[in-house]
Amino acid sequence: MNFLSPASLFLFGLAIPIIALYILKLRRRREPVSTLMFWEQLFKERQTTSLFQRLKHLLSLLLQLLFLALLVLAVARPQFAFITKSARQLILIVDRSASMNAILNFDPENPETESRLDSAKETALQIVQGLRFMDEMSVISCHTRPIIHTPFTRHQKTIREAIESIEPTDIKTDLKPAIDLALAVAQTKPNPEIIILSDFQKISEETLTDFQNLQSKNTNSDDDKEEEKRNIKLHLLQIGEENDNVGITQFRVRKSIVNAFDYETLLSVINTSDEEKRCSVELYFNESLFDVRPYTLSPGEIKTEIFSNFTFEGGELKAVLDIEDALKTDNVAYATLPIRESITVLLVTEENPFLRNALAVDEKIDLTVATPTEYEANTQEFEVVIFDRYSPTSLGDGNFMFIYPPNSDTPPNIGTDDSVATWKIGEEIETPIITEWERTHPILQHVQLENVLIGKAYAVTPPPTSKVLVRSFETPVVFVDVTPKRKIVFAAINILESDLPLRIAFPVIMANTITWFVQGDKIEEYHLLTGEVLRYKFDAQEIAEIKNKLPQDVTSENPQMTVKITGPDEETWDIPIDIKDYDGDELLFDQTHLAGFYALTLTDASIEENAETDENLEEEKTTDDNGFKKLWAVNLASETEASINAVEGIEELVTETELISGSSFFRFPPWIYLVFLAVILSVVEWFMYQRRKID
Amino acid sequence: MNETQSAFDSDFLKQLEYLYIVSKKIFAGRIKAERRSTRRGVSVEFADYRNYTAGDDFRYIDWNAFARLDELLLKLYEEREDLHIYFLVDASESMTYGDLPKLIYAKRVAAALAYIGLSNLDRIGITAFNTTDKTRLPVERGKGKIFTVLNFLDQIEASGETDLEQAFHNFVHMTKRRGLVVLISDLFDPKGFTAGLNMLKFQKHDLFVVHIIDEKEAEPNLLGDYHLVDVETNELRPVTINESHIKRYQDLFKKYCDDLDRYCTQREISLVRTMTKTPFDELILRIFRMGGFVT
Repeated sequence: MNFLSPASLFLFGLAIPIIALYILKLRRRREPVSTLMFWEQLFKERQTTSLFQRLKHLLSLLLQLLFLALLVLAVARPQFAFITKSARQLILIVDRSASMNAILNFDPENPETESRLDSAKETALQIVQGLRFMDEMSVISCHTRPIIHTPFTRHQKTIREAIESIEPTDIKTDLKPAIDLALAVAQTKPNPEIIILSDFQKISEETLTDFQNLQSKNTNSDDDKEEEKRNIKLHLLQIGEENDNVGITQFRVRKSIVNAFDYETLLSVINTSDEEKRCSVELYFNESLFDVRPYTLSPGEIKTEIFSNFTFEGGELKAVLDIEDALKTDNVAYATLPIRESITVLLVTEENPFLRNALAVDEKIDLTVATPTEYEANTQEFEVVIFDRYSPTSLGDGNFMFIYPPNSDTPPNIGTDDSVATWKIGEEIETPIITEWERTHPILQHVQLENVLIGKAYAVTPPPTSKVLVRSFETPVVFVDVTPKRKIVFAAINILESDLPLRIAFPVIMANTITWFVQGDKIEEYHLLTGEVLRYKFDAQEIAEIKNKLPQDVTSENPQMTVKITGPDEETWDIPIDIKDYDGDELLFDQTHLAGFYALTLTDASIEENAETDENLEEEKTTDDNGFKKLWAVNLASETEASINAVEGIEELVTETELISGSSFFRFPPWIYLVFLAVILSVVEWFMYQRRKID
Repeated sequence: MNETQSAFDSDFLKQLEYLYIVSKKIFAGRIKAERRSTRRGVSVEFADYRNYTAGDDFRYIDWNAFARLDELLLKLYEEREDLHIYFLVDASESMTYGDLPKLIYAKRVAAALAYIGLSNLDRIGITAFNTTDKTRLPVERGKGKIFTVLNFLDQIEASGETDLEQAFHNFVHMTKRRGLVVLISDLFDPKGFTAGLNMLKFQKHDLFVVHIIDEKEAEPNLLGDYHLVDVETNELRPVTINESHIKRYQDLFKKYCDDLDRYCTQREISLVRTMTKTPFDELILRIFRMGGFVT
C-alpha cells in the first residue's frame, strides 16, 4: 500500500490531544436535587459491572481514535497495488454514421424519436457509470474518419461531456479507421479494452475477421504487435434492431449528354427490406413541388430515373421519398441547378454563316457579329471573343478563340507581359487528316472527328503552356492555352474549306468551347457526399466583380472579406480572406456532416464589424448585398448506408453491456470508503452516546 | 432557592382574610366556634343509639324506645369541643429546593390554615421538624395570636435531613391531647413515610397531609453527565442521564406518590398533593372543598 499524500500521516499526532482530553475529561456539572432516593433506586436497577463501565470508557476512546485513523488515512489517499494493476484503459468508439440516425425501435403506428445514436450515448453513459476510479477512458466517434473527443482520462465528468458532445451526422460508415486508431492506442496500454457501439450495418469481411481474432485471442502471427493485440479485450455492443428502409442513393445534376446547354438529373432509389415497398418521390424546386413519381420496389431493387428538359434553372432541387421508415436521412436528397446566364460572345469575321448559325443555336448566347474594322473601334467587353480568320494587333485579358488566323510572323501582342510565349504559325498543310484528339477534354466531349475533311490548315507551334487537343499526325491543329488571366482556343483549320461545319460535331464543339470558356464543367463541383471536403477557389473574375461591388473606401482601406458558409441547420461558419492579397488559394471546408444545402456567401468584414455598433449599417449590409452566393448540395447517397441492418455473423461477437462494468467494490477510490466508514462510525458513536452506551 | 425570601407580606395577610371569608361560606349553617367531633358526648344534637351497659348514666336512656322495643338504648349526643390543630412543618434542607422554595410554600399554607383555625377559635400548635433542630410553637387560641403564629413561621429555617419517624416520635411524646395533625412536607424520607405516619395514626390523631413537591422533582429536565448533589446530605452521585432514565425516574416518582395515596386511603388519612407552582390560595380552597381539613 502506498500513499499519494504520505505527509498527511503526521496528522496521526492528533491522537495525542484526543487521549489527553480523554484523560482530562471535563468535569460533570453539579446539579442539586432535593433527594437522591429516586436516582439511587434508578441506577441501582441499572447497575453494571465495573468492568463493563471501564469497557464503556475505553470503547469511547477507541471509537474516537478509530475515527481519527480513518480520516487521516483518507487524507493520505492510500493506493493499493492490486487495484492499480487491475485498472483498465477503455477506448470507447461510438458510431455516429448516418445509419445511427435510424429510429431505435421503429413502429409506423407509434413513432418514437430516440435514435440509435441516442441509445448508444445512453449505453456509453451507463458504461461510464460502471467505471472504477482507476479506470481510464478515451472517447472516439467515427463515421468515415475517427474523431477523438477526449484522450484517456479518469475524470468521469469530462468523459460524460465528451459522450454528450457526439453529434449525429449523415456520413456513411467506415469503422476501420477508428478501429485501427484504437488498436494503435491500445497497444501502448497495459489493460486495454475497446468498446464499439454501433449498429454494425457495414463491416468488411476483414474487419469481421479481426473482431473474431481479437475476441478469441487468436492471432496467427508471432509478430510483437500481434502479441500485444492478444491483451486487448474487444466488446461489441450492437445498437438497434432490424428495420426496413427505402432510401435515395443518387441525386445529381449534370450537363445533358445530348444538349450541352441542358441539364439532366439522376435519381436512384433502393429498397433494402425483404418486402415490396410502394412509395412516391416528390420533386421540389425551391421548395415548390413540381413532380411526383410513384415507385414500386421489390426487395433489394434499385430503381434509377433521369429527369431532363427543365424549364427552370438556378435553384435548389430536392427529392423527398414519401415513406415512413426507420432512417429518414436518406429519404431526402438535394441537388443544385446552376443558373444558365447569357454569355456575351463577339464574333469578329468578315462573314461566316456556319459560325453564326452554330453560335445562334443556344438562346443563352448573346451573339454580336463585327467586322475586324468594327472590332478595332469597339470598346465593349465580351465574355468570349471569336476571331475568324482575323488576328488583332493586341490582346487583352479574357477568353479568345482563334479560327484560322492569318499567317503572320507577328502574332498579336498579348498584353504587357513580355515573358508570355505565343504561338508560331508554320507552313500551310493541304488536306490534313485528324489522327488524334483529346476525347476527354470538355471542348471535345461527345464529339467524333474521324474522317473530317479539311481543305486547308497550317502547322502551328503552340506555346509551352498550352495543351494540344487535335493533331494531324505530329502536327498540332487545335490547342488551348490557359493562363490566369486568359484562355485561348486556337484552331489552325480553315472551316470554310472543310465539311466540319456540316457535321453535328461542329455546333457541339462551339457550344463546348463557349461553356468551357465561361463556366467550364462546374456542375459536378457543387455536388458532394456528406463528409467530403468542400473546395472552392475564387477566380480572378469573381474577385474583380466582388471588388467592384464593394464601396470604394472599403476596397481601398480594408479589403478583408469573410466567407460565410451556412449549413442545412442554419449553422454558420465564418472564414476570413484577404481579397486584396488573394492569390488563388483553395478554400477548404470539411464540416459537411449533414445532408442538405451549404451556401457560401461573401461579406465585407469591415461592414460586419461596424454593424455591431451601428444599426443603420446593419440595414445597409442586409440590403447592399454583393450578390455572391454559391450553393452546394450535400447528400448521403450511399447504397451501403441505406441497408441499416447488422451484417451477418456479428451477433455471435456481441457483448452484453453488464459484462463491461468493473467490480462495483472498487468503483470509488479507497479514501471515499474511509470517509464513508468514518461517517458511519460517527453516527454509531452519536447513537451510542445518545443512548448512553458510551460516556 | 432563596431562604431569605419572606413568606408573608401585606398582600398575604389580605389573602388570609379573604380565605377566611370564603371558608365561612363553605361552612355556612354550621355552628361557629364549634366543631363537631367524632367523639360522642353531651350536647343538644343527637348522634346515635347504643345498648345500655352497666354503669351508664340512666339519664341518657331513651325511655320511649324502651317502651316500644322493650330494650334499653342509650341516646348518644355529639360532643362539642374546641379543636387542637397541630401543624407539622417539614424544615429539612430538601424543603429549600425549587425556584419557589417548598418551605416558603409550606409556611404560607400553614399560616393560612392556622389563621382560619384561630378565627374559628380552634387551638393551634406548630412544630417545625428536621434532624438537627426542632422548634415548636405552643398551642395558641384566638385570632389575635395570628401574628405570633406568623412570626414563628417566619423564623423557621431549613436545615438537616428528613427523618419523619424521629420527628413524629418527639411530637407524640410532647403532645398528649389528640387533635388534627396537619403535616406539611415533601415526605422525601429515605427511610420511607410509613413509619412516621403510622406513629401519628397510632396516637389517634386525625391526620391531614399536604404533600408539597416541586415541578422539577416530578419531571426533572436533566440529560447528560451530572454530579447530582443531595441538598440534605451533600452526597454526590455521578450519573449519565438519558431519556430512558428520565422516563424510569418519572415512573419511580409516580409509584412513590401512588404508594402514598394508597397508604392514606387505606388509613383514612386526608391527603392533598400540590406543586409549588400552584397558587397557595387555590390550594387552601381546594382543601376546604375536599373537606378533609374538617373532622
